[in-house]
Amino acid sequence: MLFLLSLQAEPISRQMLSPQHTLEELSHLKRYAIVIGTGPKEVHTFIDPYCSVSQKYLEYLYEHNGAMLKKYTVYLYLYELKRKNSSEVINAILNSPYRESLLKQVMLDHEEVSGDSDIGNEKIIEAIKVSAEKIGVFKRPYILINGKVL
Amino acid sequence: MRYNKLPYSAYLRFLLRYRVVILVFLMTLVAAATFLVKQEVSSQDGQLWIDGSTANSELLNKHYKSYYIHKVDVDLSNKKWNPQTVRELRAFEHALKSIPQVREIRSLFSYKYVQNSKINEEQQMVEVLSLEDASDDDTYLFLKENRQGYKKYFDKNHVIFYIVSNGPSELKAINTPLSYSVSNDFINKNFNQVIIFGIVMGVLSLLYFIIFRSLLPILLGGLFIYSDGMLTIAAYQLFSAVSIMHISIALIAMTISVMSFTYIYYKWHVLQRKFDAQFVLYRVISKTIVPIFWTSVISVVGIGILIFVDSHILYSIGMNVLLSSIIGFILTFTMLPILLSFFTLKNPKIFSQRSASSFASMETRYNKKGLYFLLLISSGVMLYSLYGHFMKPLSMESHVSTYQIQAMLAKKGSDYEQIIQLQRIEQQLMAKFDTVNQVSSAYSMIRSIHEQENPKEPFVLKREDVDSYLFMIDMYGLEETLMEKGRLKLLVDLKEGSDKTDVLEFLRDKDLIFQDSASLLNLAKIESLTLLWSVVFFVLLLIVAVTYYITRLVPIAFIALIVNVIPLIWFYAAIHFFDIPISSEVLVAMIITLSLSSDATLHFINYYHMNRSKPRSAQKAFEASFIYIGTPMGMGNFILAVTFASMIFVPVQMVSNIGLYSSILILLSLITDIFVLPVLFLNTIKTNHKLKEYKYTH
Repeated sequence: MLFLLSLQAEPISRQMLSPQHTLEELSHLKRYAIVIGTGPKEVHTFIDPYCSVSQKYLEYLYEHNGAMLKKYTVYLYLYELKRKNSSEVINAILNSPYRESLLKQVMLDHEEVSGDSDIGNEKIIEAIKVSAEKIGVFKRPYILINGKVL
Repeated sequence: MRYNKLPYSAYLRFLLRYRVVILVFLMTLVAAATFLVKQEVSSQDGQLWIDGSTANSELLNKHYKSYYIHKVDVDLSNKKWNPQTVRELRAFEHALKSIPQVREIRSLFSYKYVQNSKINEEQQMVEVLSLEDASDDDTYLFLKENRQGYKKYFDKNHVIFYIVSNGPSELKAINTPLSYSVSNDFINKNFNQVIIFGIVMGVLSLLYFIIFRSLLPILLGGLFIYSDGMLTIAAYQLFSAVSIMHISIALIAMTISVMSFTYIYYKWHVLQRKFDAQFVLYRVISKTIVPIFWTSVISVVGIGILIFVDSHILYSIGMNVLLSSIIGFILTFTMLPILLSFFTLKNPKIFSQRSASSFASMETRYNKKGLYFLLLISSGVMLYSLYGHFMKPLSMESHVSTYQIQAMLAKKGSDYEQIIQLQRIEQQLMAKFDTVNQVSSAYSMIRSIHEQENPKEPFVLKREDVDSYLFMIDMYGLEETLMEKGRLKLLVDLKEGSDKTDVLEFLRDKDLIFQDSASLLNLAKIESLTLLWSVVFFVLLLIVAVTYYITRLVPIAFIALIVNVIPLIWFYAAIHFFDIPISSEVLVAMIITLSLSSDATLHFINYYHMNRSKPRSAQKAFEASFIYIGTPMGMGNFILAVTFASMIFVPVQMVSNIGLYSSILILLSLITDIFVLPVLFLNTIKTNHKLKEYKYTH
């Protein structure tokens, strides 16, 4: 029993898929991402809009007059952290025709957003969740380059 | 034989007939040179060394600029470490940033540290941060707890700022309650050249007066040396491709003209009693023109060859010696005889006549053991020099106290290969040199990121991980810190007081481009030294060849070689023994000695050779040579040694060092010329049957 408890308490903090399989997984998932930047190199990141470290990460991406975004194309996957209760805001962002702007409002300007947070995006959210679990996303931001976590 | 049928007599008659016209022409040239030459003579030689060197050319070819790193040390021993001190340090850094030409300040505020910003297991990210935007209170607390990581900038009671600037701009007084000191080279010391040349001319005049008991050599010598110096500087400005005029130009020109003047004036002075004025001039010219011509040839060909090298300092010295020798030769046989022709001395006195005669007869009764002992010791010294040359690199003076080497990879890009190259260099540096404190590069940054991310996993850089690390470098805006226009940088921090020559010698084979001027200066010196040794050997070879050409005797040519080598090996051994850093002062001193020693040897051997054509014994010819050549040779060297020694008191280190090294080398040369050359010569003519019988056959 004690053994089982200890197994439960230990978070899985390693990537579950090989880089190659991760890339395969991401190739299906990337249509659900919020894409920022136009650079030749691809970066995939799982974030939670209410996670302060993810917010800092986004801040870095937009820094230096967008130099990063000329070098990289960043695929952002909104993936809720349980304790952050961000499903509503994720829905609101995904429902918006201006996803990137809304994401910035929430994450960088820390604005309260109101919108169609009830309309279902279950398909997207579920797809991200399934892929994240397969890959082994254990933290936010979870940054993947060449299919490997940073 | 009447003297007007002898060689040079037609030339002398021509000279005397048109003496006023020639003198007016020459004086007009000197006057024009006085007014037209740029009066500024520099004692800053750093740029001269760097320009034209291979390392600097590589840098310029890749379109980079070199920059200067200066160290500012803030002493906090009388301060408390609190937010107020942090505020003052920040204000101080701000003031440093506002100095013209400053491009970057490296300090505890700008230092990038890696930290895992972790809220919990689910929210974490490795960040690269600096204290630049942190509050004074946060900075105070952070540094209190993380002092170890900041050792480079914050050690004991000292806070270090490194100023990276585009030029050696002057650090003006900063209004701060902090007490600070700046590495010396940051302060551009100027010197009053009028005072320096005033001292030199004053000492020369005094010595001429003491030796010749007359004001005439002061007047003529002053005019001759001034004319030679001015025309050399003017010609240098006219013909030299290097515009910086170093103080050594004036000093080398002065040395050459002092020796020529002393030989000629001495000869003229002592012959005043014996012959009429015109015949005295004829004798002076005929006895001195051959050795002075050949000395000039050796200087022009041997040292003047340096004008074909790219290094600006060596080019400058080559051009300088070339022009000094040519102009000195021309003036010695135009201006000087003309000036002398206006004067006669009724009762010429000389300080050293009796002592020279008695010294000459003493030398004829020399002790063989003494000679062999000296040669044996010199051989030992030579072995020590050779050991030093091959086993221990010479230290190079770089006038800096920053102990940093800034370089970048020659190959552009930031791929796996480049980062692995940085890794290899860092690992080799740390393993090979105790003097290396720290190596900072993209590789070290990547390693720090890994250590924060996976503290338990040993770091092995894999090809597939490079992109991830480069993403982080981009994200934290580290490109400027770690790269320069597409090339990865490497910053090596050395321990305080360590010699960076060996580290640089190691690094220069690693396909790097060096960027800080102190390292470029060191590398230029390493490169120049190799070339300089070739020049020294070439000059020695020329001396031997010319001596053989004059005498057609191998033993005499061999003596010429020994006599010229001895001062150099003693000096080189002293450089190794006292660990004297190689500087342009040392270089100038060696060049001066090289020209002087060939001068003495050729004058002595030529005079002896000519005297042997007369029906005299070898000893008699030797005594005459010693009196007529040994005396002015000793005088000239003594005058120069005292004059250069007087420069030791000039409060500019560069000039003071030239004075010190040159006077030591000239004294060594003088000792060899007085004690070794004649004795070795006498020993050879006594023991060598073939030489005893030889007659002038030309």
